[in-house]
Amino acid sequence: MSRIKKQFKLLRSITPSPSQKENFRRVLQSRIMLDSSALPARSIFVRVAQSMRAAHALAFAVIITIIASGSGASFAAQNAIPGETLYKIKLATEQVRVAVTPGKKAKVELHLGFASRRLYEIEQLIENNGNAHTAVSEALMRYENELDESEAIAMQNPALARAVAPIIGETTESHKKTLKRVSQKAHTRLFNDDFDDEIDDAYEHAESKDDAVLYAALAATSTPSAMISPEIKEKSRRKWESIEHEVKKMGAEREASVMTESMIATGTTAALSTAQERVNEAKLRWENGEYREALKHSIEARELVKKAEKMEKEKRKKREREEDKQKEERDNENDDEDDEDEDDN
Amino acid sequence: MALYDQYSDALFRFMLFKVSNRETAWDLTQECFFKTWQHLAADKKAITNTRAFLYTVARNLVIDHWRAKEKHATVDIEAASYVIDDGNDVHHEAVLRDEAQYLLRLLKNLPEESREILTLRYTDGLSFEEIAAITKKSNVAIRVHTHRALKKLKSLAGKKDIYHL
Repeated sequence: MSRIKKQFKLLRSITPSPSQKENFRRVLQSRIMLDSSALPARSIFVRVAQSMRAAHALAFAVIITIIASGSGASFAAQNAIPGETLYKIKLATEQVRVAVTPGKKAKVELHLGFASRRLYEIEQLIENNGNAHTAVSEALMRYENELDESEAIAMQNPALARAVAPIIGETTESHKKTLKRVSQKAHTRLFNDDFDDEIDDAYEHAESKDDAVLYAALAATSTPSAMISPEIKEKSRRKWESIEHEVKKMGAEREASVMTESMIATGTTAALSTAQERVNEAKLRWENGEYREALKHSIEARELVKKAEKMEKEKRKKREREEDKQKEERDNENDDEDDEDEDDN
Repeated sequence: MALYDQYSDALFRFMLFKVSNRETAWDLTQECFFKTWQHLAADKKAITNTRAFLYTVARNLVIDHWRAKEKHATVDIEAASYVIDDGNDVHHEAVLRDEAQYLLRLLKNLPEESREILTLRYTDGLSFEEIAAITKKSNVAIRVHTHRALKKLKSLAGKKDIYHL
């Protein structure tokens, strides 16, 4: 045999690490066992796994793999973004992690972490690929689903809601900043506003989940105000403060612009005025230590502000469409005149 | 599981030479076994040559991976050699490492297709028929390609300074 052929055989010593091999062996074995109930139990691992429910068997194996893989051997799948081969593995691993994580608070944190991942993926998609509309929409949907999951767990009892409300609040606050950044990136990189409505919905979703959990945290109205944590009190205060800021900002924008009466959407002025009333009520209630009522009024005020914003947006879009149409008609008329001139010549 | 024990090393190597990243290679190897199991569970009889089938799945996964990345990875298979571990005999290990790195440097100068065929044939010991099935080429074409690629490799090996080929 020639030297080169012998050297080819040397390449056989390039192998995955024994721990990686062993870990995935367990995962694969569990998968096979799940798919084929007829497989006889041959080892302690298999016997233990068979005694567990099917989903937990695979979960158990995957979590062993995750733990055993150690810090230096993280899965490349964890960096996958929608559309990539490894993305399904990433999502499956996440489901498993939730299934095997004990404790509801920890599960809420996991879902929030996965929601943050979805936003990061969306940023990546927008940066890397201009034709990723479907993938971005799906990731936004998954983002909202993760928030729904965390909310569903948190709402199971007021004590849990109280424990996780500050975490959900901080996380969704950070998400809202990210969503704003994503929206800007979509404009600058893709030169269109295709994602505007979907990103707005996701933003609204983040805010509503935060409100809902905070409201649940304050569910026990009989709870003396002294029992309510300072974080939640502060959060309740920040809520009406931020809405008041939004109401004032919208009012100031109207004053600064040269909007005529016809440019203002019907009902927005009334909506903003009522929102301000709700904010005032929220402030009063908060000062009296009625945090839940204060929050309720804040939520109502926020909904009114959003309604006003939506109406303004629709009105603006309608106006832009009309202007475009008029411009097109003018251009057509000019073209026709040019054609007639040419014919005359 | 026998398939896994028998072919996981070879498939990992195959992936590694294509994607030049150990973690990605191992993830793709895992995906390959999952997919193969799905096929086996659905219809075991549909697969006539399991080894060729495994490599075909592996190859398709790499292609999908490249497509998703929208670019063909710059293959630096020489970088893979650092993992070669041949026990505690330091001298022997060093010799092995040198030999393997020498070959990897040579291989870098061949086209991707030639590298694939030569490693499948001489590292993993696949038959010409199996390689033809995996690459969807005729048996004769693979034989000719192998012969030419090996000749080219020997000619490169005859040159003194392979670092500047």
